[in-house]
Parts: sequence; C-alpha cells; structure tokens
Amino acid sequence: MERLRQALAWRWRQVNRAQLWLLAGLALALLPHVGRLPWLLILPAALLLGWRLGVELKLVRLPPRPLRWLLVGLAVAATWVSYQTLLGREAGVALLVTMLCLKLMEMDRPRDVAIVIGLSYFVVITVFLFDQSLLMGAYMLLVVALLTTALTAFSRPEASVPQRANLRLATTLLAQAAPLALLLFVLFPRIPGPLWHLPSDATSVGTGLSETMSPGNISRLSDNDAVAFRVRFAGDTPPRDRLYWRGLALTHFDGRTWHNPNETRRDAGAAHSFDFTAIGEPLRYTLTLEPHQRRWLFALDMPASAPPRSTVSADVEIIARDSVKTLRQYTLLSYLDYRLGAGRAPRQFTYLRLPPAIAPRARILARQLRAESRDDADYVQRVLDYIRQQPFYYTREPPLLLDDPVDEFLFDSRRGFCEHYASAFTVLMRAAGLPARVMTGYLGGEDNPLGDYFIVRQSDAHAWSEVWLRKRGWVRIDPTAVIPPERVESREDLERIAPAYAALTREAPDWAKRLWRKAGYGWDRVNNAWNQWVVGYDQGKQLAFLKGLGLKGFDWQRMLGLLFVGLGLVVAIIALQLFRRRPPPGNAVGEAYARFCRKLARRGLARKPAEGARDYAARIIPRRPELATQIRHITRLYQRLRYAPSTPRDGLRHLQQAVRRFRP
Amino acid sequence: MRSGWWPCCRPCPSPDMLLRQRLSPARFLRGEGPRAGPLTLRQRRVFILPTRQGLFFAAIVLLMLIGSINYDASLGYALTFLLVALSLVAMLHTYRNLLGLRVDIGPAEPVFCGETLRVPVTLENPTGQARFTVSLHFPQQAKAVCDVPAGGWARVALPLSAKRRGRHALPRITLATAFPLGLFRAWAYAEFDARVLIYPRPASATPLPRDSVWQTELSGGQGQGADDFAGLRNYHPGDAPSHVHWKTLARGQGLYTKQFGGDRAEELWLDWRTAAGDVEARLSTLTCWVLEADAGHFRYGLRLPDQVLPLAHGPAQRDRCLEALALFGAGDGA
Amino acid sequence: MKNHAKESLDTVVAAAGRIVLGKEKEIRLALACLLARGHLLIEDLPGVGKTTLAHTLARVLGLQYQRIQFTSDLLPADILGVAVFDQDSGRFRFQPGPIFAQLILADEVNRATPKAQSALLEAMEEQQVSVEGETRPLPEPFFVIATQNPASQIGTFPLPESQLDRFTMRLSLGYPDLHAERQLLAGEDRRDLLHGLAPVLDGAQLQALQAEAGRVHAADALLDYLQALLALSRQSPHFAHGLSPRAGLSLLHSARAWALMAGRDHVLPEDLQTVLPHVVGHRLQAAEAGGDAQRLVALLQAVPIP
Repeated sequence: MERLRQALAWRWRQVNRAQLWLLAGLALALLPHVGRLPWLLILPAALLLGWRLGVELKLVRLPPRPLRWLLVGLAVAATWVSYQTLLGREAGVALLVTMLCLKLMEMDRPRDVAIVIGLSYFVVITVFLFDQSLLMGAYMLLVVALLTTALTAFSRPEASVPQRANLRLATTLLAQAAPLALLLFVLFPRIPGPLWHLPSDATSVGTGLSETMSPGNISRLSDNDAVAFRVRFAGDTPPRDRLYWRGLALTHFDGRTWHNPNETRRDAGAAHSFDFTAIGEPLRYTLTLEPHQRRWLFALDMPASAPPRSTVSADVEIIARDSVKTLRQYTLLSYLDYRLGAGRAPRQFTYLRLPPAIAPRARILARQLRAESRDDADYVQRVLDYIRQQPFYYTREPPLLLDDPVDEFLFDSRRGFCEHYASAFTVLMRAAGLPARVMTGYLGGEDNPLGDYFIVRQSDAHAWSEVWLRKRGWVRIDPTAVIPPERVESREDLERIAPAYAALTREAPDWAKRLWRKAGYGWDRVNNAWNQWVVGYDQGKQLAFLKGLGLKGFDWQRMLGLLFVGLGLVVAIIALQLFRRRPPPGNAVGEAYARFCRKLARRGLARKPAEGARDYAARIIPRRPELATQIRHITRLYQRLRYAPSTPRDGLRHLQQAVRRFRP
Repeated sequence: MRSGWWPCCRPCPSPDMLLRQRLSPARFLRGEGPRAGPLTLRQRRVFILPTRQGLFFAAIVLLMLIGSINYDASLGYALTFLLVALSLVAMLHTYRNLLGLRVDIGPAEPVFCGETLRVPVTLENPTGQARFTVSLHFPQQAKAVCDVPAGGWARVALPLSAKRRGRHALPRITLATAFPLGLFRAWAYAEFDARVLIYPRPASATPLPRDSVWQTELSGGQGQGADDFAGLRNYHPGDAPSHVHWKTLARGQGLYTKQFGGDRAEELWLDWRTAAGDVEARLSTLTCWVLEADAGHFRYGLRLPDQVLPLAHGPAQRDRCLEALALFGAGDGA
Repeated sequence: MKNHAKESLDTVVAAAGRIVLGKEKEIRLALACLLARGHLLIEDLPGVGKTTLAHTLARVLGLQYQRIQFTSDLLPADILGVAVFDQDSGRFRFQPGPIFAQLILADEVNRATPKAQSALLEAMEEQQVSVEGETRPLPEPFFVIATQNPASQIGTFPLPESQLDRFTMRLSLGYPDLHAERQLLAGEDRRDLLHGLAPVLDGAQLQALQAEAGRVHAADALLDYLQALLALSRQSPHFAHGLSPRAGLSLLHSARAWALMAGRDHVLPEDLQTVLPHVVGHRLQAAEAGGDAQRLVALLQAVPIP
C-alpha cells in the first residue's frame, strides 16, 4: 500500500503539468453540465477524463485507433438515443462534450492540444446558454483562467518555472485583456434576436408555472424560492394585494385539468382588436424575466400593449415569439382599473363549456344560488359568500382528490390551494351560465428594501378567475381573497393574500432572521444589478448608455468606429507598458554603489567599467584624501554585501545611508 | 590559423530606413541582409502573424460570437470578447518575447563534409523580462529551442548539416516564438556576415604512403619507439615487460628485449600525386592521411598542385592542411 | 582561521623571498597556483632563476622535490618509471620514476618528444600513473613546474594549445631589478642559502590550505563577472577560439587561492583581475595572423564588472 502510494507520488511528479491544468479546466467546465446532460453521456465523459489522467500517470495506455473510432460511433449513437437529434442546443452541447472528451485520447501534436483547449473554451460558452447567473459567471472566469494557464504551460514546456508562474502569467494576460473585453462588451453593436431558429428542444424542462393547471401543481411551487422575475416601477408602487401578474388564461376543463388549446393563441395575431378601456393613470414598469423555457410573458393586470417580439392572444396573454431561454427584459404600461370586452359577449362555446359528467353537486349548488340571485353580479357575490361562510381552508397540503376534484373539494374536503378555489369557482360560474376562465400568474411580490425593485418568486404563483359580466366585461375575481385570515394555514400565504391582516399579527423577527433576510436582499440586489447591466445588456441598454455619455444618435457604424478607436488606444497603452525597456532585475546593493559612483563621477572621478571597487577606492583616495574614511567604509560594505558569503545585518540599509550622506 | 573568419564590417543598414524600404515585401521574406557583429531585434526586424492554432482559435471565437447573437446570451458575448481581448494581449506578449533580444554567433568549429556543423549562437537579453521558448533554426534544418532569463543569456549550438566542402557564407537564422499562448508566431531573421569552413569528407581508412616516410637527419641516429619491430637486443634492467621477448625466454635462450624503431622524427610528405582517383577522391584520401599523420605524431607536409605546406606537426599543422584541402580549387572562399 | 592561513602563507612568501630576490609577486602567483591544485608553466630565458624558484618552494613547503631534465631522447618510462625484471625472483618489480615526488620541476619541457610530453601531462591531469596496466596514485600534494625556453625553437616541440590548457598558470620571471641584481651579485651563493633553508610548512598543512582555498566563497555577482569574461572570449571576433571551461575553472580556483592569500573568505573581482593574465595568457590565440595574446588579455581586462 505504502509502495503504491510512493509509486503514485513519483508518477504524479512526472506528469506533464500543462496536461493537468487542461484536465482541471475541462473538468470544471463540464461540471455545470452534470445533471443537464443525460448520464448516458456524462459518465463516458467523466470516464474519458479519468482515462486521460491515468495515461498521464502512466497507469493505462491510450486506446488503439479502432477503439477510438468505435467510441466516436458510440458517442454519436448515445446522443441520438438521448435526444433523437444531433442538432439543437442540448443535443449539440452533448455531442460537443463527448467528442471533446474523445479528443483527449488523441493529443500528441500541438495542434490537437490547441483544438482541445479551443473547444474547452467553447464548452464554457455552452454553459452560458443555460445559466448566466453571477455565480456561474465568476465560476467560469476561474475555468477560463485554468484553460489559459494550460495554454501558457503548453507553450513553454521546457522552461524551469514553477507552475505558479504559469498561473500568474495567465492571470496577468486576463487582467490585461479585461479592459479590452469591457470595451468590446459595451461598444460592440448588439444584434437583437436569433439569426436563425434552431430546432426547439423537446426535452427542456421549464421551471415555474406550467401550461396547464390541475390540483396540486401550483401548491407544488409554494416552497420554491427561485426568482420568477423582478420589477422596477417607474413611479409609486401599488399596494401588494393589487399586484396580479397576469400569465396564462385557461379555458378548457376536463374535470381535473385546465388548459388552453393552442389554436386560440395561434390566431391571436397583432391585428386582434380589443375592446379595452383604461381607467385612471397607467403604471410604467420594467420587468426582468428569468428564463423559464416557455413562450409566455407576465404583465401586471392589465397591460395596455405587448413588448417587442411578442403578441397578445385573444385571452390577453402575452406570447413571445420564442421561448424565454435567456434573461428577458421589457418595459410595459399597465392599468390597474380597466374595462375589457364589455361591448360584446364572448364566445359561449369556449367559456361556458363543461364536460357533461363532472361536478353534479356543484351544478345543483350553482343552479340553486343562481335562482336566488338578482343578476349575474349578485350571483358572483353569493358564491364568494358561500366560500367565506362555509369552513373553507387555505392550505398548502390539500388532501388528495380522486374522482371528481371539484365536487370533492367543494363539499367534502374544503381544504385547498389557489388552484382548487379558482377551478371550483370557475366551474360554478360556468354552471350558472356565466362565461368564465381561469387565470394563472403571480400575486404580489416583495419589495427589496436595499433596492427600489420588486422580487416575484415562484412561491408567489397564483391562480384566479375572470368572469364576464354584462356591461362590465371581464372581471377579475380571486376566490381565495375572501377566505377569512384565521382559516389561512400558512403564514406566508396570509402575508400574500391578506397583507393588512398579516401586518396586525406579524411577530417581530429576531435579529438573526433580520440579518439573514437583509443579506438575502443584498444578494438579490447584486443579482438584480448583474441582470440589469450584464445579462440584460442589449441594444436598448447600449444606446441608453451611450446617450448617458452624451453620445446621442449613435448608429452601429459610429459605434464600431468608437470601438476601434478605443481598442487601439487601450492596445497602445498596454503595448507601451509591455515594450518599455525595463532594466534587468537590479539589486539594491549594486544600485546604491552605482549612486556612489555617479556622485564621484560628477566630481570628475568616474569609475572605469572594468575597475573593481577596491582598485577604484585606491585610485581616488589619494585624489580626495579628506573622503578616505567614507570611501573606505562604503567600499568595504559594498564588497561584503556583494561578494561575501554572509552579509552583515542591515548592511544594505547602512550602505544606502552612507551613500546618501556621501557628498564629494 | 583561421584568419579571414571575420571579414571587415560592412556598413549596417541605416536605422532610419525609408518607409518604402521598411514595408517592402522582400524585407518581410528575407530580412535585412548580412551583418557582422551582434544584432539587436528591434521593432522593424520582428514580424508577427497568427499560427494555425491561432486561426483555429479565431474560428472558435467567431462561432462563439454567432452563438451568443443567436441565443442572445450576454455572458456569451462577454466570454467571446474576453477571448478576443486575450488574443490581442497575447499578440503583444508574443511580439515582446522576441523584441530587444541581442543575437550573436561565434565561430563554428570546422567539420568534415557530411557531418553537422554546430554554430554557437548567443541570445542575450538585456531587458528585465525573461524570454521563453525562442526557437532558432537555419533554413530546412533542425530547430533549437531555448529560454533566455532576464538580464541573462542563452547559448545554443545550432545544427547545420555540412553538404559541400569549402568556405561558405552562413545561411540566415530564423528566430521565432509563439509564447505565451501559441496563437501568434513572431519571427525575425538574423543574417550574419560569417563563413563556415567544411573540410572534405575523409576517405575510409587508407594506409599512409610509407614510401614517402623519411628519416629525419636533424635528430640523428636511430630513435627508439613503439611502432615498428626492428629486432632483438639483450635485456637491460628497466626494459618494459611488454617488450620482453617471451618466446626466447621460454625456449631457454635467455632474456631478450624486442626493439622497435622509428616513431619519432619521422617525416612524411602527403602528395597529391600519390593519391588516386578524381579531384574529390584525392582530396578525401589526403584528408584521411592528414588525420592519420596527425594521430601518429608525424612531422608531415602537404603537396598540392597549387601550393605546398611545409613540414610541421601538431594541431595547427593539421588545421592548416585541412583548410587547404577544403579550399582546394575554390580560390579563397565561396 | 583565515588570518592564520594568511600568516603562514606570508611566512612562506617571506622565506622564499630571501632566496629568490625581488620576485615576490611571482612567488605569490606560484604559490596561488599550488594552492589551486594547479600546475605551473614558467616560460623564460635560462638563468633567470626558474630552477631556484622551484627548488625554494619545495624546500619552504617541505615537499619532496624531483627535477626532470627533458631532452629529445627522454622516454615516457624515464618519467613514469619502469617494471624491472628481478632475475632472482623471476618477477617484475616496479621502479618508480622521478614523477613520484610532490614537486616536480620539468625543465625545458619543449625539448622532449610529444610522447614524453604527453606522459607528463597525462600524469598531471589524472594525478596517477598507469604503467603496464597498473594504476599508481601520485603523492599528495602534487605540483608540476614546467619550464620552457621561448628563445630556442630549433629541434623543439612546443607544447600544443591543448596541452598548454592543462597548465593553470604561466609565468615569466624576467630579469631582476637593479636592487635585487645587486643583492644577488653581492650576497651569498643562492645554492648554499637554499641548503640552509628550513621548511615553514609540511605536506599535510599545505593540503589543509588547499582545501581551505577551495572553500573561499565566490558570490553570484563574481560568477557573473567570470562568465562575462568567458563569454567575451567566445564571442569576440579577435579571439581564434574562446576560453575553455577548464580555463574558467582555473581562473576561479586561482582567484580563490589569491583571495585566501589576502586573508579573505570571498573572492573579489580584483582577485580575478590579478590572476587573469597569468591564467589565460597562454591559452589565448588571436584570430588575426600575427595577433598578440597580450592584446587579447587587455580586451578581457576591459570587460565591465557587472
């Protein structure tokens, strides 16, 4: 065992350090893809990395050429099996990663090394297609530093420099590159939009709200603290219980699940006209949406327009042209009070349809309540009263509903999350002949006290109803809002749906919690700034930034011009600094003595270049006998410091002092 | 004596050459012409272009840019630009890795045709910046790679295969480096006004022409030596055991010592006419003889159709003879 | 300790100086050469006291002394020794030659054939003698002073460059100055004085001093200077060939010995400069025909001290 350890240690010392830098860089670059790529591909990649390390340690041999080709074939096959395609973002990344790891088996020539390192840089960028957070950015900077170190180590294989020096050199190069990169980042004209559409990735799993709503799939999000989006209001912030972030409208019900068939969205063209009347002042805000891999965008109920590259559907959902794969930012106007679709009754077929066999008891209740009501509005009120008066609970752990979720919820369990209430309420409306639909989105959000913006998290996901009333049009009804606070089980939900009541009963958090929360807000603020200025830096920001510098009306040609001038300038500065002739690493002793000689040279007693210190002293002392003591002292100190095996303590300081005091 | 090794200095190219001259493609391809003495690599001598690896890297970066645009990935842009900036900076570093080096050559020891000359090249680094992986080579010859420490120097023996006898102008030296990232290659040409001497290829062992061995009159008498058996004499105390003639002792005929003669003060004329074959074959044979005569401590002279080198011995005589053979028929130098 | 070394070496120099008049520097250099475990070549006219110098050093340092007169018929065996057939025992017995002494004076070394010269030089180089396949170590310390007469060229075999390189130093004594000459003429016979001379050191003490000389510190800065000197000789067009690595080592060892004699534990550039002409003078050859080695030494002496 001990011998094995020693043998390994010995081999470890023999390993080409450049290879180690490369392997470390590549392994760290691949790490974020673990879990994103199928294990069918990750495991072979890890195996190949380990194989290469084993080859470097001379524990295993490289695979023979036929085996390599076989492995290539297997990699392609594995990718195909996993994705049924070789194109697109994820399949492409998977293929790149496995091919790159296979290339590790064939790295004899400098060209192969260059290919491997170049592709490793490319792996870094593929990570950014999935995750552009601040932490990932910092992590990838480390990876880039490692890969660059590998490049430097490969380019001076024979140099007897410690590996630290390679790391330092790479860091220096990156530090010198940083201002240039910043200049490019700020000034390189950004081209919006995809250049072409790649096959969409069928397997990509979105986070957050899903396309459908069934019991349990919103309460599933209630523990998810991930940020859904951040909002910055241009003016005052409206009260939290009015912040209904509109997402999807769900019109079709199968007894358990609400969904929206795609046709209604597809025919929602830009020409779709709305019978929309705004009341009051608009709210202006900028929303920064975290990528959720789906096409819909969120807006405060009720948006007056759609952001660029998106359209509004017939149900007033904002649908983007492409799914949101990177951070997306847009500015909108919304009206908290409005009248929508009041002029014309909506299509009965879409908004009244219920599957015939479901919710018999609910239908009876609806008929009964409708019969008691004066009109539709009164009916809505009665249903809400019913929910308020009957023992309905708002809970995060609703009981499982088996056969007929609506009836079971309304009459048996009476415990549910927002999706239960919205679903049951909408069914009650339709059963009584009122056009209604389920809306999903978010409710509320928290104000970041360390920055003037709102954070809306996945746990804020919500569902509510919209009912069409004659003359009033579509009216938003949130049935969960009528549940008395004492029947809300979770403190967080209470804060959300009844903030005023929650404020009365709020306990003062202890200092640790406060600190934790504050740190959380601070971190979120940093992330927000990162999102705003780095991830969300686009053409608009670019122009705004230049405008801020007083450079108005810049088109891309002038931007490029400015970029090249700036690049030239920075390159010139770096070049000047690099090419400046620096003297060889001087020694302080020699410099002090040179100063001494210069002082004498000014008096016409210059030292000849080939003259030793002792000979020099012997030559000048007869010419300046009054300086003899000083000259002898300095000469002796200098000789001792420069040539003797042990130097006197503080000798250098004494020499420098003596030279300073020396005035010939 | 290898005089004429350093011919007088030619005027160096003027430091402030015309822009037209500076930009001429000929300079780019061929450098600036030979010069004597050390050569400092200044800006106008050092050229730079991307390497194949650099072009591959550029292609990758371009792909990255397209990907960033397509996926609207801002960090993708950031990484792309960081790599662009990195290669710009690396270009400066690569250029700087050659800049300011001082190149000089020393005299190369003459070799025989078919062998490899080792031209001592000194790279001096008068700056405070260490230089790494500087490669040097003669056209179509093997490379030598060295590092030059800050304020120090490095010395390499640059190989140059000797193909033809005679005195030849030293070909141009190419200095190149791709340090620190291998994305760019900076190079410079150094051409020195120096000559290398290549002796003829020695013929494979040809016995010395013994009939032209003369006993010297100067030292008188017969010498005693170790080369040629000359007879037996009675044993004297002090004779070396290896010279004792054991056979006679064994036969009981008494103790005799073998006597050897004439390894000292032998004089030998190596004559063009005694060698056979065409010009090059004769030269080869004579070269071989010169080496053998030198190894055998002869006093020897060399008779060529156009010159006669008088009797002498020692390394100086050997060098003289070999040089005469190398330059035979070529006047002086190429 | 160092000063003890300096004292005893000063005593040696003073004692020798009483016999060899007016040649203190040469005595010191010869002694430095000895301390550097090197060998000395004296090139001078006959009668200037080469033999006396060698003999005096041997006496003062308490070394066994042998003189070998080199002639044209000198055989290697005359230097190294021979195996003699013992008729009684029927065996060979090794009869050591004159080289088995601690201080050898090889007089007029250029009169002998290259073979005899080689025998001496090989023994010098290897500190041992191989005769009849048997290797015999030479005594310690072992010091060769060879002399050469530059004036007579006829019938001589001047040592080739490669052989010259094996001598650490070359000295020439030159004529004595007026004062010394007068003393020489007026005083006692040198030979008688020599006999009355008592040894100051013995072999063991000398070896200790040699070891001490090897420990004298040479700082990086000094080695830089030394390398600059070597580099110049190898790069300058005026030199036919550069100084060999052996020349570099000889320079360093001699400078160390010189520093020890000055009572220092480290070498100064001045030490190097002092021994330089004597160490490199015989190794240099000008590239130009008829070039002067003196000029080359001057070039080396002009190398700036880093």
